[in-house]
Amino acid sequence: MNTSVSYRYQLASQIKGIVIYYLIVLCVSVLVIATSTVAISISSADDGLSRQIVGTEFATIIYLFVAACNSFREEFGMLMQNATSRKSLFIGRILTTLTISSFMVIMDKLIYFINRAAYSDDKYVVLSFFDSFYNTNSDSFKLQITGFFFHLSFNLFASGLGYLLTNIFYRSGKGGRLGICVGLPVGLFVVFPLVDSIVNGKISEAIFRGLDKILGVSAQKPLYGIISCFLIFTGLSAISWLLIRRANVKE
Amino acid sequence: MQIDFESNKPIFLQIAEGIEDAILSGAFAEESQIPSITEFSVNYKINPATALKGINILVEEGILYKKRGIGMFVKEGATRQLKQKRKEQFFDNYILGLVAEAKRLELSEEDVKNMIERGFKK
Amino acid sequence: MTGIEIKNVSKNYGNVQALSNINLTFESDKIYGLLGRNGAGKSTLLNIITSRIFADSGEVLIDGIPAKENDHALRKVYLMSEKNFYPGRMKIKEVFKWTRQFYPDFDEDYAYKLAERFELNTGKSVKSLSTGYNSIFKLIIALSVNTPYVLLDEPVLGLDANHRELFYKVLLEKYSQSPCTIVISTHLIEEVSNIIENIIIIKKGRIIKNETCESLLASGYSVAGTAAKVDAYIAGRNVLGVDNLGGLKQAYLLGKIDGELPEGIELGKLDLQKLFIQLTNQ
Repeated sequence: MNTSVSYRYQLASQIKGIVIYYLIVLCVSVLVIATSTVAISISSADDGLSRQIVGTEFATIIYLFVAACNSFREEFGMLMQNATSRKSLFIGRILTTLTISSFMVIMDKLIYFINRAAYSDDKYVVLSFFDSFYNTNSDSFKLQITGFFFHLSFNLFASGLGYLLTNIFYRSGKGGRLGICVGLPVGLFVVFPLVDSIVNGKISEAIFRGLDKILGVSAQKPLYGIISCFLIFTGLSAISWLLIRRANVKE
Repeated sequence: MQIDFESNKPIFLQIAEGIEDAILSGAFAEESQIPSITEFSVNYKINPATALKGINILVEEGILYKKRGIGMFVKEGATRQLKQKRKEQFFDNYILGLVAEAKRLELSEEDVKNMIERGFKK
Repeated sequence: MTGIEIKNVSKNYGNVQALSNINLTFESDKIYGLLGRNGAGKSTLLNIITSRIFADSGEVLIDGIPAKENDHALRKVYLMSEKNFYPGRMKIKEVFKWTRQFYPDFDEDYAYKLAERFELNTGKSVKSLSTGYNSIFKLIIALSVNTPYVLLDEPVLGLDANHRELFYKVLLEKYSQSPCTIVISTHLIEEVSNIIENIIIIKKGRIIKNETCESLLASGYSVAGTAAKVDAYIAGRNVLGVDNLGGLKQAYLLGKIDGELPEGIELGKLDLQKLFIQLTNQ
């Protein structure tokens, strides 16, 4: 069956980008560690402030979103050219998403521990995205595991969202595409804030409260966050499938 | 062996006749192998089925035979057989046309006979 | 092997009926010519067979299995089309490598040998190829993929005369040694007329002819001679077309020759291209 090849091919398409991403991350991390080590030894003043070092998890989320936005058209063409059904394509894509999301969570964890080791001075606090989100400092093993799954499901969510967007884009005609390219930014950054200010911020308030509830932020229940992200990812993927299964090969 | 793609004569017939000519001229010796279907097909840019059809005509007439796993061979006695066949066709293929052309050019029977004699003397 | 069976396939784009009730079978081990004018529906049909686009109605069976969205059935077919779906940045040798993964019977060695014969540099990327070489690399894959069904949509687009000659040579070599079903979709009738065994003519989404080359050619004849004599002969007969050269004329007719040809009229073969033009006009 071509499902296995579909998976291997789509995975191979992602590798180069991920390697470059982590090379950049590594360089930046080394740079930051080097400069701050110098800074520590230069400034002996203890001003009581603790400096926060944020992890790479958020950057990974952005990366996965953007990478997913670029992961349909070319792969679709290649797989259709090579006798592969849309079903196999989709299954391959899901497996690829799971693989790279997991891999990047592990890599980010590694970087997190490297940072922890590098910034052993009390002046610095190393926080992961999970930590900043839920206002914790993952010292306990339980929190580490929770953080791991949180990052994983958020990665999946970001990937699923980007992929769905590119599916919508592919299936839309010229008008639709223009609508998305113009409409989405305008809608988000112009129309929405405008409407929101008219109702005195009630809309964004409601949205934030809703997000807070499903992600369990104030309630300090990261489990909600994990489950919500995962469910949203499943929903987005289902819609992606509906769009892919009737997609025609275009020129 | 040339194939005239413009001619009304079907290609497979031209192939058969071409092979016959080659046997008569000695180019394809008796008990020797003739080019394969692939070679005919690729050389003249024709469908192998067409080449096969032409060859099969000669197989049926007993001019060629197939050696399994090797290819097509000229049967012993093919030359004699072909000469006999051509002799029988000589009148239709050459004489009728010759006489018709002679009449068109207003040559007499005598003129034609003299020319034939001259031809044999050469 | 029962071949590719196309049953009652229709497809329309908005108001345009691209294909109307197509019923057709591509049998094993034959070379087919799929002829039609630009926009007649040839590419649409080939794309439907390979599940790249969906028919509005009807179905396609490959060796008895419904082809739509079925990896197993689709693997028996390779479609070489005008449009390029291979990633631009990919090098040709990488394309070969992946093709082998998708089509396990793909003969990589043979493909490299062909690349040499066609003077194709396999280190080049897909997007850096000229139009001609874009066709060539896809042709090489089609000739090396060893699927029971090979569909070629305008295979010689952009190829120079030498490469065209080489292509036909290699095609016949391959077909002779390991027969398969080859469908050549083209409007270059003259070039393929001697290679194809069966002809299918599509006009405005419908099949108007589906028979062997032999029987199609036998359906008519041509006559040549002085203009006056030819005109006299063709009066009242089913004429496909005429060629004039000064006082000489050649006419193409449908039907059987009845009786002897009059003096001064020469009998010739039916011209497939003239027949095609006549059948697909208006």
